[in-house]
Parts: sequence; C-alpha cells; structure tokens
Amino acid sequence: MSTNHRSEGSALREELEKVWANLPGWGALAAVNHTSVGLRFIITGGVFFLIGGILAMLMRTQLALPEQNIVHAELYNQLFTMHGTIMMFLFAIPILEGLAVYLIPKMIGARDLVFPRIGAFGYYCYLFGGIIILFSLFMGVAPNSGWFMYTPLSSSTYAPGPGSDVWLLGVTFVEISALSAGIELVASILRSRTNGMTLGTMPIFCWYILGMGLMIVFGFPPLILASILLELERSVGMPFFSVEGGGDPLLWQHLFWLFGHPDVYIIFLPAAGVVSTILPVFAQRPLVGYRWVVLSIIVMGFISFGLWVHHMFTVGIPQLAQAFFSAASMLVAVPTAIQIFAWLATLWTGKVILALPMLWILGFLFIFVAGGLTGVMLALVPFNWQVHDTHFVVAHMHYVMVGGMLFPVLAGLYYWLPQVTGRMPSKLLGYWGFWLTFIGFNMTFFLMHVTGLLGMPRRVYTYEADLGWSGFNLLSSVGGFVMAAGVAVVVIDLALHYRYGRKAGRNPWNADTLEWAVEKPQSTFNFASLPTVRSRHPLWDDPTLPETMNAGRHGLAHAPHGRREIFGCDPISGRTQEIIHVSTNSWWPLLAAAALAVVCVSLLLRSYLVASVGALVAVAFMLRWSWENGLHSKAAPMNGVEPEGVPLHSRTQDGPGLWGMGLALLADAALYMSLLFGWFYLWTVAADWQAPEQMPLALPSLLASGVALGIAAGFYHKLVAQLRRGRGDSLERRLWWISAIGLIHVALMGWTLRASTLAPTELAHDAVLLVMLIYILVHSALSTAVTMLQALRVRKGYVTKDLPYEPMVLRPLWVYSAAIFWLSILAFILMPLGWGTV
Amino acid sequence: MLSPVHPLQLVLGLTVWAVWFVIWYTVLSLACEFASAGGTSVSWINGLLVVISLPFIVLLWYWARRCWRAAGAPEVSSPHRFVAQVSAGAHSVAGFSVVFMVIPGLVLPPCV
Repeated sequence: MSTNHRSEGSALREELEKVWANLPGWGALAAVNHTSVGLRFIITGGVFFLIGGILAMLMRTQLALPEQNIVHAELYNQLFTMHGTIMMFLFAIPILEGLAVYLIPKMIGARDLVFPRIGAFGYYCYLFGGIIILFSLFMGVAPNSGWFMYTPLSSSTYAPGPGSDVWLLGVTFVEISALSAGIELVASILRSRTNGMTLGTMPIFCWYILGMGLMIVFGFPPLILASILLELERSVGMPFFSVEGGGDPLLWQHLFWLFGHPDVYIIFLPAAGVVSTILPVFAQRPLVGYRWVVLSIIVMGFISFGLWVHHMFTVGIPQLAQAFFSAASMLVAVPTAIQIFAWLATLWTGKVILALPMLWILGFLFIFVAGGLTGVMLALVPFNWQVHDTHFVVAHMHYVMVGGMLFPVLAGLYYWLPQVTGRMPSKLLGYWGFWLTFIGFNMTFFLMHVTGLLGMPRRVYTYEADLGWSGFNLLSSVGGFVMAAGVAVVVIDLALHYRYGRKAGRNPWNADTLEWAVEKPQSTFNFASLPTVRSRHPLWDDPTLPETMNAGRHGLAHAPHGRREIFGCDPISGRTQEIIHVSTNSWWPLLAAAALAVVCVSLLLRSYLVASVGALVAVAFMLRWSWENGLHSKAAPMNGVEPEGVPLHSRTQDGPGLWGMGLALLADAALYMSLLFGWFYLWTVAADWQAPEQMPLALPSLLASGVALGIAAGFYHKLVAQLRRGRGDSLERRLWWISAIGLIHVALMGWTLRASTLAPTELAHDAVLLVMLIYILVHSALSTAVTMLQALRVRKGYVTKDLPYEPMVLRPLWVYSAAIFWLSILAFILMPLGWGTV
Repeated sequence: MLSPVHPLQLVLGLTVWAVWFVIWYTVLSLACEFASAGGTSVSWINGLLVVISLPFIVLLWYWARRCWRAAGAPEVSSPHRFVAQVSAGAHSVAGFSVVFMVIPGLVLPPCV
C-alpha cells in the first residue's frame, strides 16, 4: 500500500470510527453492529455446543456397558432431552445465524445489516432463553420428554413438573432470535448489496442464507404456535392435544415436524453455503454450476416443507399418503445431489490445495453423503417401520447433522479465523483435531446403525447383557471419547492461536469475496468505502480492491454527518437507489429482551401478575425503541448534511423497513395458517371433537367490530395512497381518527370476548376459537397503538407529507389485521355454521 | 400476467407446487373421511387426485417454457436473464415433482 493510501485511510478510519464504534466498557452491551452481534452468537453457540457435548459423553458413559447405573433413568431422560434441545436450538441454528450475521454484510460490501437493533435483540433473546433452559438442568427440573416433546408424554399428566414448561417457554423465547435473524438477513441481502452486485453475481453464500432466512420465516411459526398451545394446555387446561376435550396428540406431531423437517435444511443450507464458498477457493477456480446450485437451493427450500410426515410413518396414516410423502422425501435428494456433483466437478476441474479447512470439507463430503443415503433408506416406508425409534435413526440423524453442519462449521471456523483474529491456526493441532474428530465420529455413529438394526431402541438408559449390543456400544462409547478429544484439540488450537498463531496476511487463502477486503485490525464499519462490483469474484478480478476501498476511493467514504450509512439497492440489478441509514448503539434491544426474560421466568413460576407487568414493560420498551426511527436525531443525525443525488431511505417510499414488515407478516401468516391447519385437523380427525350446541360468541358485536376494523384499515389505506401522491392534508388529525376507530374495534372485540360463553378448558373447539380471537385482537390493538404513535410523530415533525415512509411501512399491518379478521370469520364461524356443526 | 423475468418467478412455480400439495393432501383426507366406500381399492378417488393434478403440471411446464424463451431474448438484461433461467428450472422441477408424487396415486388404494 502506498504512503498516500495509508494516510488517507487512517484519517478516514478515524472519522468512521467516531460514528461506528461501540460504546466503551459496559456500553458494549448496547452494541448493535453486525460484527459484534455475529461474534457473540458464534461464541455463545460454541459454549452451548461444549455443554451439549458433555451431556452426550455422560450418555455414552452410561451406555458403554450393559446394566450400568452411573446415570439413573430420570436423569438419562433429562440428558437426552437437553442434549437434543441444546444442539438443535442453542447451538446449530444460532451459530449459523451468527456466522451469517457476521459474514453477510462483509460479503455484500455493506457496513451493517439493515436492522441492527433487531439483530442485537435476537441475540439477547437467545442468550436469556438459553440460560433459562440450561438452568433447569442444574435445578434438576430439566425437560425429560425428548427434544421433540411428543404429547401426551410432555403433557401435564405424564410430565407434571416444570420441565416441559421450561422447554416450551425457553425454546419459544430462543425462536424469536431465529425469526429476527431470518428477517433481517433476507431484507439485507435483497436490499443492501453494494452497487452493481446483481442477484446473479452475489456470492453463493448469500443465496444459501437467503434460502435459510426465508425457510426460518415459514418454518419456525408452526412450532411457536404448537409451543404456545401446549403451554396453554399445561398451564390453564385448554385441551388442544387431549383426546377427552376433543383435541388430538397427533396435532403436536404435525405442527412439530412442520417445523422440524425444514429445520434440518435450515441448518444444512448455511453449512452447505460454507462448503460452496470455501471449496472453490481451495480448488482455485470458480464454483461449477452456480446457476444449478442456486436452483437447487430454491428447490430444496420448498420441497423440504413437504416431507414432515415421514417422521410419522408409524402413527397410522393411509398407504397412499405415506407413499406421497415417501416420494417427496426421495425428491429432496435430487437438489442435494446437484450440489454434491457441483462440488465434485469443482474439485475435479480445479487444482486442490489440501489446507486445513479443506480437510474438514472432505470429511463433510464423506459423512454427509453417507447420511444422505441412509436418509433415502428411511424415506422408504417399510424400512422406516423396521428401524423406527431405534439407534439407526439416531445414527442417521447424526451423520446428517454432524456431517452436514458441524464439519462445514469447523471448516468455516478455520477458514475465517484469520479474517477475524488476524492469525493463523496451528497446522499440527488442526490436523490432530480433524482426524480425532473424524475417526471418533465414525466409530461412534457408524456402529449405532448396527445396534439400531439389531433392534436397540433409542432413549433407553440401559440394556441387558445378552442382547448382543454390548460390544458395539462399548466401541461406540470409545469412539465418542475419541471425538471429544478431537473437539478438545480444536478448542485448544483456537485458544492458543490468539497468542501463538502466525500472523495472517489480509487474504491468506487467496479468496475471491469481499469479506477479505476488510482492513486489519477489525473495525465495526468493515470498509472505509463501498465498491462497485461487476463479477462474482471481485478480489480475483482486482487484487488491489482492498487497498482502494480502504483508502476511501469508492462510495460513501465519509461520515461527517454522524450517520451510519450503507447502500440501498435494487433487489435484482444491485444498482444503488438510496442510502440506508442504520441504527447506532442502543440499549433498547437489551432492555426489551430482559423484560421478556422476566415474562418467561414469571410464567414458569406461574406468577401471572408479574408476567403481565413484564409484558407491558416489554411493549413499552419496544414502542420507545420504535420512536428512535426516521428523522429522530439518534436514528439519522442530519447536521445539515443530506446526500446528493441518492436520497436517504427515510425520504423514499420503499425502504428496507417495508421489506422487514412484509417478511414479518409472512412469518405471522405462517403462524396463522398453522392455527387454521390445527382447526381443520381437529375438526376432521379428532375422535372426540365436539362443537357447543349454541354459538358461543355474540355475532352482531363481533361483526360490528370487524366492520370498524375494516373501516380503519380502509381509511389508513386511503391515507397512504394520498401520501404516495404527495398529499398529506390533516395528517395528524386523520391518524387520530383512524386510531379512534381502531379503539372502537378493540372495545367491541373485548366486549364480545367478555360476553361469550366459550368453555376453553372443556372443549378444544372453544379453546381454538379463543386463541383465534386473541390473535386477531393482538393484531388490531397493535395496529391501533402504532397508528397513535404515528400521530404523535406527525406532531413532532418526524412524519410529514415529504417524509411519508413510516405510514407506508405500517399499511401492510392494517391490511393484514383486517384480512385475518374476515378470513377467521369465514373459516372459524361461517364454515362450521354452514356445515351445521355449531 | 407476471413478467417471465420478474424475480417472483423464482418462487412462483414452487409456490404453486406447494398449493397443489395442500390441495392434494386435503382432498385425499376429506375423501377418505367422508366417502369411505371405495377407498379400499383403486377407485374414483385416485382418478380425482390425478385429474386435479393435470392442470398444475400443464401450467408449470408452460411457465417453464415461457421463462426459458424470455431468457433467450436478446433485449433482456443480464441480471434478468439470470432470473429467467433459474425460474425456468424451478418451474420445470415443480412440474416434475407433481408428476413424481402423483405416480403412487395411480396404483395404491387411497384410504387403506
């Protein structure tokens, strides 16, 4: 780098540091930038992985020999439940989210994600939820019904302690973090790429994360709903899953696996993204079949939602339905195979460098292909019946999850380590870590296929000596400890490299993507200036790009105004169309998550008054958080400086907030559709489903409330349409009127609920109806509250006819609230009336 | 009609596949629930399941062809060409998925 470049760069760095730096000391807890949040996710996920691993070692110790009593049955139940829960919910998903949160802005040439406070909020929800779940283990009240919590085993009759509640509340809390990450990653990838980065030239990792994010948006709500319903059943006795009240335990399985199977791909996609990123770098050539890989990501994202019933082949489903889901299960192997062939072709046509990350990738290919093949075996119904609930399934799952996720994550860890710390890991320790893990893993889990075929059921805490399983189990346990030793070596390597690792150059692997253009030492703003990108391999095309970027020769090179700015782009062409100003450090995410943690713990302790107060405080914090938006001085300090040519996003009619709202409503709609599915499922399948003899709701007041809601939504829609045309007459007064009509709707709904004769603890029918009404009420009340807030913001001058962005963001919420009301009237009230069941 | 180079094409075909999936499974469930007679051997229910699938197959492959032709048009910009090419693939796969998943419906009794 020339002297001129260096001095320009350091001056610029100081200027940007002032705007982007975290607060000092404890103020770091208010950090919202993606680098800090992403690393926190990764480190926390790593800690949970080690804890989950220790639980696995305890189980393998117990199973090493027959008829042992090192761990008693109850503790063993807690161990396997917690092991699965921790690995799936507290390790696999969060660490991959963290990786994406850390890498995506760097790869797309941005300085941050578009909703930094949401990311920080998600992290704290994850941290607090994880601590709550983990704490139950130390209190001896951990969940013990297995990580998929089948009813009725997890219901209050068979699991009377707080264990199931811990799982339901804690996991739901953690899922907030997954949803928030999913939404902000999708919006960021589509709307904040650097200038010129088209959909077809963005790094392949971004496609994988786009797929993952959208799958989270649709995949997590069914489990969130199921958890809420089961918790309501356990705490207040609403019989959603109890046969006596007209519920059905199989509804839980459907809702759980509607989440659970896509979840496997939610975990696999980013891991495969790591493979598709790293493998071409070490093959020293571009990925073969970029378009085919993109196609396979999209196909996998959809088809993986159609397989959930293959987890339920033994529950009594017609043959044809089983064959249907069996076919879907086989189909999903096709896009997976496309990717594997693309990777093999890349290796075949490249000049492979067998560096440490590549070793983990090769381990992944071997293990994951084996796991995929046993997956195709399990897709076959007769075979599935034979090995259902045996160690074969446990072995398959670990081949898929460890091969498909842990190995790529460790490859990624070794690959990006120099990017994060500026130092190289030890080759010697790295090789030892890999081989111990690889050999130990295969020794442990390959043999589990055999014990499974020999009939050993999963989740038994011991077995008799004469069953022929003893030798395999002993070897399996030895393998487990070898693998643990491998992981320990990796951890030691990571710890030591900070001090003893060789210093890394800026781009030690000769990688092609922009994250390697980040200047050292690591900053919170990534790049001093944002480049125009024309190909998929910007650093291979122009190796001097990092220098010119950090010398400020490209876009957005200065920040005298004090705003945190990134490019906002056209989703397809990547052409810059606005400048997005993102949030600065904020305490609100931490405070809101802490208030929700209070709600969570209070519900566990059945302290409903405290929970209610906590919920109100959380809502208050979030509304205050939303106040610091748009023109608010904390959101966009102006200091008399407006960008020339390209507007700030808050001056446009199509900023990332609108995309965030759209994505959030898609997730919301997925939850609503799950409720609708539950309603129709119970109606048509539950053996004791019964409707009350008389309609339990006062239809006139309910319909009147719907009319009020429709009017409010209609007026809001009209107001926004006028704003779009540049007209904003009497804006504040009209917003107050809409709020007043919204309040009338809320009052009428409240009255309808109060006057109803619903018996939600006796009939599943009424319980579902009540949940539906509360769902509608929450949405319309929220729409009303945020509209009142908008009216106040008009008074403050944050919203005007020249600044119409915020009302536009809220319009979809009003439309959605009105739509679900009338859809619910149709599906929950009129259809049953028409069929003569109420 | 949605332009063949619109980015929503990337997900449209597979969304239609998902709709078909829900319809197929719902029709099967309801038919077996309310019309148990005839459900124990290949019957009119199988025929119904195939018939409701045919328009989906035709539509999806028509869209695939439309996107593929658009991708070859010289006036289409490179970013939009990428979208059209991948969309053509996604529509084709969606159509193939319907065909593949319908096959068991030709030979298996629906309600056993």
